[in-house]
Amino acid sequence: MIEIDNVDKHYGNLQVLSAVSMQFQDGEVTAILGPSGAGKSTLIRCINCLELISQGDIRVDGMSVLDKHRTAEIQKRTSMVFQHFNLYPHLTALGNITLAPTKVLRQSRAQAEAKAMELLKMVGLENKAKRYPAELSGGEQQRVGICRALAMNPRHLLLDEVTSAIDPEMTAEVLRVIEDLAGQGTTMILVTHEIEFARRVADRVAFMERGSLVAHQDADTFFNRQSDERIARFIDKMKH
Amino acid sequence: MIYQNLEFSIADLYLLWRGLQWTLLVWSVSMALGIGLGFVLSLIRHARIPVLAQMVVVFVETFRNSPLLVQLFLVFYGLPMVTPFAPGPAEAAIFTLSINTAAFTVVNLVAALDAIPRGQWQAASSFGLSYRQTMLYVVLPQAIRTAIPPTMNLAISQLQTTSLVSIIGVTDLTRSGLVLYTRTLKPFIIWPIIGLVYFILAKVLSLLAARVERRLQAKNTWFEAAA
Ligand SMILES: Nc1ncnc2c1ncn2[C@@H]1O[C@H](COP(=O)(O)OP(=O)(O)O)[C@@H](O)[C@H]1O
Ligand SMILES: [Mg+2]
Repeated sequence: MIEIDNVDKHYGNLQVLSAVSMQFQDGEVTAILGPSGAGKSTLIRCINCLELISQGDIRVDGMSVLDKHRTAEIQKRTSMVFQHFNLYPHLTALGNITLAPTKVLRQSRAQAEAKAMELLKMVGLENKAKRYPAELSGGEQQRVGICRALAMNPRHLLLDEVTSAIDPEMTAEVLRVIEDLAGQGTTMILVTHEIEFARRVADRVAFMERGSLVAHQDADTFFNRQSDERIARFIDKMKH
Repeated sequence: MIYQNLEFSIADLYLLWRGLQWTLLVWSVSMALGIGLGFVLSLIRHARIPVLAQMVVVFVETFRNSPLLVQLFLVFYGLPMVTPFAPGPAEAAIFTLSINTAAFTVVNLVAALDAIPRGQWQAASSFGLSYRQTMLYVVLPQAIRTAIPPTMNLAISQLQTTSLVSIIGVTDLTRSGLVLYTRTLKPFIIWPIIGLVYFILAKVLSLLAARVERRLQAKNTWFEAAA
């Protein structure tokens, strides 16, 4: 379980998160929606200890991000998939996926590679294992990015607009992978602009605006019985 | 009248050969030491280790913004006056050229390190890789590839620069030329030959460098896409 408790985040004078409190239950898929600049990326980066929070607390399976000794463990339990993939360009797809498992989890190369091939097969890229990121399309790179995150056996998968840097005709292949994962009960927090996709996969939806959490509801309520005028308009706009 | 041999002999070729050997020795040893030292200083600078990093900056600025000849004089004539060390010409030459090369290597490698996108650090750190692991497996492999071409160019231009060490008495190629010139008084034969040898050396090195660069590019079509 991930608990966000009254979190503030400042960059200098700029307040990016204000008093955000929410919880993510295990096995749940939560979509985080909201306009650009709302603080969605910042929030999930704070969960992953990539950013320090300014106020409040975040606990991942009971471990506080404020406890420096827990950073490594929290990062093991939470894996990120990035908007711009951030694959290591000097390593093959296989090298990208096996780096952290061999260096951080201390798996043997054979073990890590077997797992990586299994994951690549799952996303339909087993024949691209030896390719470098630059030799892959955006959609393929992001599927490798997902494999890289899953190879760490994370309890919580954090996905930050994973299709927004990909050509539209290739988003489907990435979304299908995520949808499969959602079906398997992986805990996911996904920041997305794909409203239809969120409707299909999310159990719950969080809506953020200007650093604040405006709504956190189950998906059915959020999409079908939305009482907040502004959110309803936002959903409507995102559909087109 | 003092007898002076104005003609060239086979022994002169040997003199040139010895000179060439000294030039290559001074050059290769100081490139190896300089690039090695520059590598270590770059890591200190990039890690922003307090005090040490500032010292590296001062070091780099000092040695890249002053003439090598002045640095040579300072080491060769100055060091014995303030320290117990009295380096011979070759030692002073290698020491100074190493330091000088280190300073320029830091410029190249720090630029390459700084050019690694933040996303690379974020990705590595989000999966729990430590600073050391991220450096070793993610950042340095990329940065070194970027830094190789400018570092090869630096080494090639430093080959020319080694001719300055003749002034403090290293019997390098240029010094051999000076010896032959003072004996034969035939500048238009001696200096073109000396110049040609430097030219050939530099040309061979640039061809090698171009080859390395082509191979890097062929292997790393990914590099542009990384930006
Ligand atoms: N490293 C940073 N330094 C300063 N400001 C930042 C930084 N990262 C994000 N911001 C600012 O924080 C705000 C929220 O950003 P972000 O979390 O990326 O929003 P979202 O993902 O919802 O689009 C934006 O105004 C952005 O400019
Ligand atoms: Mg964002």
